[in-house]
Amino acid sequence: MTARFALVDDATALRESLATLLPDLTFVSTHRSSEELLAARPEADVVILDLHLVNHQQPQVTQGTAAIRRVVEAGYRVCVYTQEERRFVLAACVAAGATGVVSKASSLTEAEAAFRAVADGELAVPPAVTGLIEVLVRRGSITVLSPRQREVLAGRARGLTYAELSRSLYVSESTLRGYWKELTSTVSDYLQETSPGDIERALGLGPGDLIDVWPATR
Amino acid sequence: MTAQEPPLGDNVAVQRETSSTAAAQQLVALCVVGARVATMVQMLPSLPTAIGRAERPILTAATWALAGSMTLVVVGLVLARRRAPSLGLAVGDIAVTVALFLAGLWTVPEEDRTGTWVGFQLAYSICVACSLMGVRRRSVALTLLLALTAAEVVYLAPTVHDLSDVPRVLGNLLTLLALGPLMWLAAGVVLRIGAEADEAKELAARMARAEEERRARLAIHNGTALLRLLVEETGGSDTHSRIRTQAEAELNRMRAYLTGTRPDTGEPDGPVDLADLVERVAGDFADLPLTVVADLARGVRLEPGLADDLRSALGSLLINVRQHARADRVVLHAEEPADGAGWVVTVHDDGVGFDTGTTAYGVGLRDLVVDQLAAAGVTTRVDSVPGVGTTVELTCRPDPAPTPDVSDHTTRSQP
Repeated sequence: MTARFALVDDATALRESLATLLPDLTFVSTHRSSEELLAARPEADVVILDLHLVNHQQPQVTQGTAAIRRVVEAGYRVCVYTQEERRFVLAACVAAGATGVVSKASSLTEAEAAFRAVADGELAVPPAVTGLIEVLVRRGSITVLSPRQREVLAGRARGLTYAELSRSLYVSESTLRGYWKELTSTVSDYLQETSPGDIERALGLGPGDLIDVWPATR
Repeated sequence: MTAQEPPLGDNVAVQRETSSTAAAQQLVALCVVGARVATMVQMLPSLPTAIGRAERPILTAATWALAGSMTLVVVGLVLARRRAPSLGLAVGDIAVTVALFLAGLWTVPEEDRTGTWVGFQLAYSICVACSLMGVRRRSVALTLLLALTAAEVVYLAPTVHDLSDVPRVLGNLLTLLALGPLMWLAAGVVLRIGAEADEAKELAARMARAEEERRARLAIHNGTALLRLLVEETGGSDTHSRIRTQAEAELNRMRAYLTGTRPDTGEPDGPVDLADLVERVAGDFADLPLTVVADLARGVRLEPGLADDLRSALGSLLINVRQHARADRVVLHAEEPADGAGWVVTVHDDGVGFDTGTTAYGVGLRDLVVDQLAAAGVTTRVDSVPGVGTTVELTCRPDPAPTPDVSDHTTRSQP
């Protein structure tokens, strides 16, 4: 089944153009805010969500991790599409329930691949966030990973594509994607269920370093 | 060049005079002179006796004069040329000695031919045999020695009247046949040691020149690349100022090379944290789509020398990415492996890549990265596929295996 996408972004130009720029994706609707999306309830599988939605025309809208959580709770998969580069903010998006985080600076090819991966239920995050996951795994905070999953994680944290990984690990790309999918559901669960304080300790951060960016534990 | 330094020409002259081959030849020459002079000094006190007891005093005096003159000629030439007699002189020397033996049949009474200095010929022939040290062709030296021995046989033959005389004659012959070859072999060893020492010096000099050239390449490679970027650069003022900052650092490196000091990297002198190092290098390349993942390298300490090498290597790799890769994403990852042994730094880009099987590494990758780091015990692995991207992995293990050559540790993964 073809995945259907909805876009939430406060930038009109982006709302008007993304579907044209990515003609192979099926866009069912675009919205200025998550409130507008939730009111319309489009029949979409994935919501591509901007992280910063407040502007002088809509000063009161929900944004950031709160918006992610609301959209996820409404039953959508969320892929955050943002100019935000701070890795803890990006990791917080995953903790809030987002399945993907894509930089607006990415190439269209890369963005499209990430949107499709999210539609497929696969965690799509930049290497900076994968690096944080690697730290959590290495320090024993996330424990269930098999050796193969660890290899895929290490490769992804170094920016390697599945094509490159399959050359060095002698495993097909689809098998590697399978490992990554198993791994990412564990990681997503951990990030969503662990308190900011525990994650700060696991990452070797100071107390309160994450408090401003991290969503409250469910 | 400063006033204190001697001009280059003097250095060359000094080198030539102190070559080990020349020193060995001088030593051999000195042995020849010593043997000849010592023999003559021992002969002279017996001269009056020899003349007094001679049946033919004039002929006897002539043989002594000939021996003395020949000694003077040989010693003079050897001292002048600072080497043992060459073939021509040696042949003349042997010929004269053979003549002296034959003349001795008339000038030396039979009872004086062995064990006395009146019959100087035996002792004189031994120092002449020793003078063959300069004739290095074995067959020629042996032929001359045998000619001398034959003359001695003729000279001594009349003194053999019964079997009891044989050991005395044989003993004298064997002295000649043993001492001559022994000195000849010893001289060979000394000359060979001299030649080998010169070869070793030459090898060391060649290696020093090669090392100097390598250091020169290291000093100017990154600077050259940055100059090119400055010349061709079309980016905004931000990029321009970043490249300028790097160019300044490279300028320091080049000046440090010229003055022979360690480059001033603006870094502290003590051990450097690997994560800090990687982040600082990345800071110079903010114009690249670069992500740094270095949490797992926090706490890994690098000695300043290795840190300098790694900084240059990463700088060179990222300049390569900037110039050639056309990458959308570059990841600089550093970690201490799970077993806590050493560290690994990976530079990955998703750019155009190259075929590692057919593309020769440039100066930057070969000298600044592979060779320089191999010398510090860091192995380099390059994996690149055209159209897919390039991964360079730098691995430092505390107890590195013997570093193989470039082709061994820069292997491609099998598809």
